[in-house]
Amino acid sequence: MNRRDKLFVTGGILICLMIVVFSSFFASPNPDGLEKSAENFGVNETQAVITAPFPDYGIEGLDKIGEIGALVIGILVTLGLSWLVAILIRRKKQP
Amino acid sequence: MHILDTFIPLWQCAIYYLILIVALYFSLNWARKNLDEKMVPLMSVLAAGIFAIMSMNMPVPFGTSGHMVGGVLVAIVFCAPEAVIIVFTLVLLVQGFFFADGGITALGVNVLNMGIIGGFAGLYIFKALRRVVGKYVAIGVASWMSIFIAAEVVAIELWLAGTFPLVQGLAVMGIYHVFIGIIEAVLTVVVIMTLEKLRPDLLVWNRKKNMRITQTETNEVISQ
Repeated sequence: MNRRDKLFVTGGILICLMIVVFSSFFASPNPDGLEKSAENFGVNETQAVITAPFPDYGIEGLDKIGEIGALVIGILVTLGLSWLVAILIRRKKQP
Repeated sequence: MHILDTFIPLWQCAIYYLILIVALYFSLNWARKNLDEKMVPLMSVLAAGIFAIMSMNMPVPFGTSGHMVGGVLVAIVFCAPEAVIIVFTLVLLVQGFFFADGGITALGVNVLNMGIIGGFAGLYIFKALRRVVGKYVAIGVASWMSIFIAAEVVAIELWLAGTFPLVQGLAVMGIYHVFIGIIEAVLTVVVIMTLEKLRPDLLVWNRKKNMRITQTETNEVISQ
């Protein structure tokens, strides 16, 4: 990775962190379009088939900090997983 | 528009998983030919960015909220719907397994709606409109339409699942996503403009000579 790419990754992570800090305070608590439609038709939100460690983007008992923490974990996991997968599936030979 | 477990019967989920497997087969082939080392950080940062932006629900009318999805963004950056399928499979896996956002049984259908439909509709609407209305207007319209089309497809899927009534389902999903699409349009244009200004080399449409297949794609998009 050259300097510009490092800058891009650092900048990208910083922007992600800014977004989740902002959204944990200011994101709309209203249901999204699909949830609202489900409400209209009386479809209940049901239990997920697996137990997620941070359901609804929160850590139990930690309120706002937990929310930010869960989202930061999500960002890092997504970044790391994508990086790993991208390296595994990318083009190996020059064309 | 993350569909949850139990919204769709398991046998239908299985069909959507089959579609996902076929889509991933083609996407991995694309990656093996086109995804070079330089694109690894780009793809990862876009995936993380999409994860982050999906937490940012903005209020829209009727007591509803919506967030950017980002399918068209990835499609246009890579000039390839295959990239969208890979990114959305990863993001939705993390969201489903860690945060119970979108069911794991509904992973196939969620990738279909946000990745496959979002990516293909977005990229090809953009390509069709680009010469007529200009690059950025085309990106905005394609982004808006990708959300609207995906929402209506969700309404049809949930009707097939026996969860929503057809006509009212199409109506309410349509109305809410008319507004949610505006969020997608504005943010997609802003991000592409920013990338074009700061790192034009990352956008596949600006790349030349280094990839034969992407080159023909790029020519299609850019040739004038």
